[in-house]
Amino acid sequence: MNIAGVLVNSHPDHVDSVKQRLAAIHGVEVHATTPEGRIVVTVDEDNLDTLADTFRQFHDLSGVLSASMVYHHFETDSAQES
Amino acid sequence: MKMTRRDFIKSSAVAATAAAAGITIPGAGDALAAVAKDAGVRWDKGVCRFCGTGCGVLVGVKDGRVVATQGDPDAPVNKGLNCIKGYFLSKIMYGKDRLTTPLLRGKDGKFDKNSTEFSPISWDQAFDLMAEKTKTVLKEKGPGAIGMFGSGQWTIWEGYAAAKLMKAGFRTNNIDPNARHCMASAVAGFMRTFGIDEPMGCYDDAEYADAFVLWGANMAEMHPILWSRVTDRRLTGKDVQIAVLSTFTHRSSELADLDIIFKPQTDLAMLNYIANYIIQNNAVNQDFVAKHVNFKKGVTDIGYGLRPNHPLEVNEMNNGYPDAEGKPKGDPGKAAPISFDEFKQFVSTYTAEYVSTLSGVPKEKLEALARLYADPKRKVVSYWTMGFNQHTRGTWVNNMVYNVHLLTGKISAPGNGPFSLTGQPSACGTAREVGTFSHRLPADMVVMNPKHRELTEKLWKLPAGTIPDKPGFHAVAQSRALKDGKLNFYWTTTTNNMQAGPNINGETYPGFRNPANFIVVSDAYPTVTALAADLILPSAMWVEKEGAYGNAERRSQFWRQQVKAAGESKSDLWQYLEFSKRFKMEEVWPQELLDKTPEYRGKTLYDVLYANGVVNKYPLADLEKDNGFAIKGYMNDESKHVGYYVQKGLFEEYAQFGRGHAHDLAPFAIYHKARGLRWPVVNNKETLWRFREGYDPYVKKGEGVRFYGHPDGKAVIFALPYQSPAESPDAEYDLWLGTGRVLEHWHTGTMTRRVPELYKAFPDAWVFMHPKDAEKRGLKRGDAVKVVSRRGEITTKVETRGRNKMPEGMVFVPFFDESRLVNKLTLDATCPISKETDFKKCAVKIVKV
Repeated sequence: MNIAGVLVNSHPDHVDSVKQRLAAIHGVEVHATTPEGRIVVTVDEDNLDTLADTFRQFHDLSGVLSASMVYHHFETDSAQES
Repeated sequence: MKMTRRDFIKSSAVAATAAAAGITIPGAGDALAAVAKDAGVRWDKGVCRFCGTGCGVLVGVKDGRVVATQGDPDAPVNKGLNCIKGYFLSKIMYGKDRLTTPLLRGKDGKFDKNSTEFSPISWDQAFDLMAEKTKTVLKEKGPGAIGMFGSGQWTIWEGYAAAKLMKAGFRTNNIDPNARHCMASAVAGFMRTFGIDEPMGCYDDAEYADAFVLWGANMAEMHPILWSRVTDRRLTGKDVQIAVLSTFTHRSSELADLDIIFKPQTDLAMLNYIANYIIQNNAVNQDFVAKHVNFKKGVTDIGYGLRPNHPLEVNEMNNGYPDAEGKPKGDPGKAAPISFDEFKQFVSTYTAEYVSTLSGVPKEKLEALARLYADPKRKVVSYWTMGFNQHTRGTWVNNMVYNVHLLTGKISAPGNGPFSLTGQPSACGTAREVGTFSHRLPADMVVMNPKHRELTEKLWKLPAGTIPDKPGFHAVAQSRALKDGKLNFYWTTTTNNMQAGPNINGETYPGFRNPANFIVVSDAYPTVTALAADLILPSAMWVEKEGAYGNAERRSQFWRQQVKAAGESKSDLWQYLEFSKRFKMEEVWPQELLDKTPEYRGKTLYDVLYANGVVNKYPLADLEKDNGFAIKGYMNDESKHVGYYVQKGLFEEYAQFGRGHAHDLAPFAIYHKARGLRWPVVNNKETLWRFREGYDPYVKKGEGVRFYGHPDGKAVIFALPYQSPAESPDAEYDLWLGTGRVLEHWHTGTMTRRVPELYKAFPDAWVFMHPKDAEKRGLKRGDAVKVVSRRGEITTKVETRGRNKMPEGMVFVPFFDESRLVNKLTLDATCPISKETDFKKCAVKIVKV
């Protein structure tokens, strides 16, 4: 289990479009946005390779100014669902 | 429906992120509280292992392993945020090829300099061999042939123990940190302008400034969390502007209101133009300048820090080298007083027209930039990192940005100030403050000053004359001395200079493999440097030991040991302590010193340096006393080994140097509770803005501002010209090469490339180039090419898209990739004052493979 909480800063004029683009990425959920352009996102992705690509995509989305990891939880399978 | 564990973790992730964003989500607080109690995971505060920002992280430990990290919501630096590297911190210690035992070059534990194999040996065997080699070198050549290379990743007490071992124990100043490659120019700039090191302001400036100017700093990738604070200010403040100056377009440019791409080295001219603009437009803060500033003109024939016989050095009269007859030439840092009018005259030739032609920056953009500084109503912060520091005129360009802030009085006040960022987690806290440079002692003191040596010898309980009075070999000089066979026992720790240092082919590699030398490398992983060594020692890393770092805003931060070190690996501190036990004083000190201190006869270096009544003053019970609130029954491995709280003793001995001298540190135990404190810490109160009354306890009532680093309380504005770089493109080598970092990797990738996610996110260092430059050479994106300089070549692939957009005539290669050692190409030219290498400018050609 690999779950991350990510704070995305977008340009205030592009919050909605960034939100839509983020939500279209596999494993990504958008939980809240603010008028200043802050977007609360989680990434839930077991495949590590995909997870890395997901982060890369955040930065490459037009309108995204920065993406910061806030929370990270990693458990190996054996420790999961205990 | 029952909440699954996955849902539970996810709601915690949302809660933490929302809190960092300043958003309230119903029920979020409960989720966070619940995760804090999550069974089996012990959380404790820590500090990120990577850059100089110094983010606080919470470290989660389960079953003796670090299983999770998260941004520390209580850390003032990052307020709960973390960058992608910080996010994967929990994995840096668990790379598959972690070193777990000492390894000697040669078969079956027998040393063979020419062997290509390593074999495991015990710690005892390793130290025996090291001691034997050291003693032979001492006997045959003296302490000048022994040296150590460390870094801004040493913890405070490791750097302190190392400096003491070399300067007091072995009596050699041949110790230098890789910070020499990183911010030596910033240090020299501070010392020259202000007489005291490190920024006057702090990160809080990011919330008060009306304008930010980035001079050669790609903060979006290199200081992402600080950048998120700047971004926040830009988007939420009224009329906040950002100017990004660089030799190519990068991610920070995306937020720029003023995006300036200039030709390499012309930052010098742009800064003189801004000074000229400020004067011509009557924007000088006359009162401030009259009260707080002196003017000086520096010498200019200072060379490029190349070897003394290099053609570019021969005719330079102030490069600090001996002349043909062996007589010393002038000091490159020399400067003479001038008047304001002389300064005005000096910068008057730096007109918009001239500087626009030189730099390639349109006049309107230059004027817009100058207006940001000149506008008396606008609070301005200037940020810079390696673009300024890694510069053959690095000290000058640091001095020159201070010129601009001093002329306008925009300094030492909330939202106003020049701010030198650092690249390493303890470049400030250890490399600079502890004084691990070849010319420095703790608290900004230097080995050349008899009073400084005297004070140091007194605090260290050493006889007068123990510390040598001349600077030792600095980083680049060490590589040259190894190659020349002048430095014969060499210990490298906490860094990877065979990948990060310049001109590897020409100097560093031949130096390591010189049969006259014995090279020891301490590291956690088999780096390029380790694999070029004769003996590799496995080091504990990060939270496998108790540690302390000092970040770019003067914030000293501690962490506790969280887990056991891997295999037989040991902390660098343990290594220095154990090594010191192998030397009797009679084997390292001359008779005359022992005559002055007969009580030291028969003792070991360990007894004299560490078991000296100060370092060994604090009992093991203090570990629980100072840390039990966080980890019940707390103990760390070094203290357990020596039988006293060694980190506390080293810290308290070291702190004596700064207390009462404007470098005050708080008592040790306070840092284990606080999320760091910014020095000077007087009466347990930290200092946010130095040199200003009301903030800095060293500025008296009624003084307003006092630059007390200089005896007359004034800072210096320097008249210094534009000069061309050591090497520029020509007909054959027709492109500029600059090197640097990327977001996903830290420095040489020793840690980040072992985290699978980060490795995959940015696996290879390609050469970024302009599509037209590619086309001219018959190349397209993804083509294999050779990048060739006068010193070497590498094979890589062409990148014409992506995060860095190069102007025509310039290429960029990141240095994290050990399969493409870009430093085979770079030139070991340095700033002659700071001795810091210029990694941003050399000439290359690119050919299709």
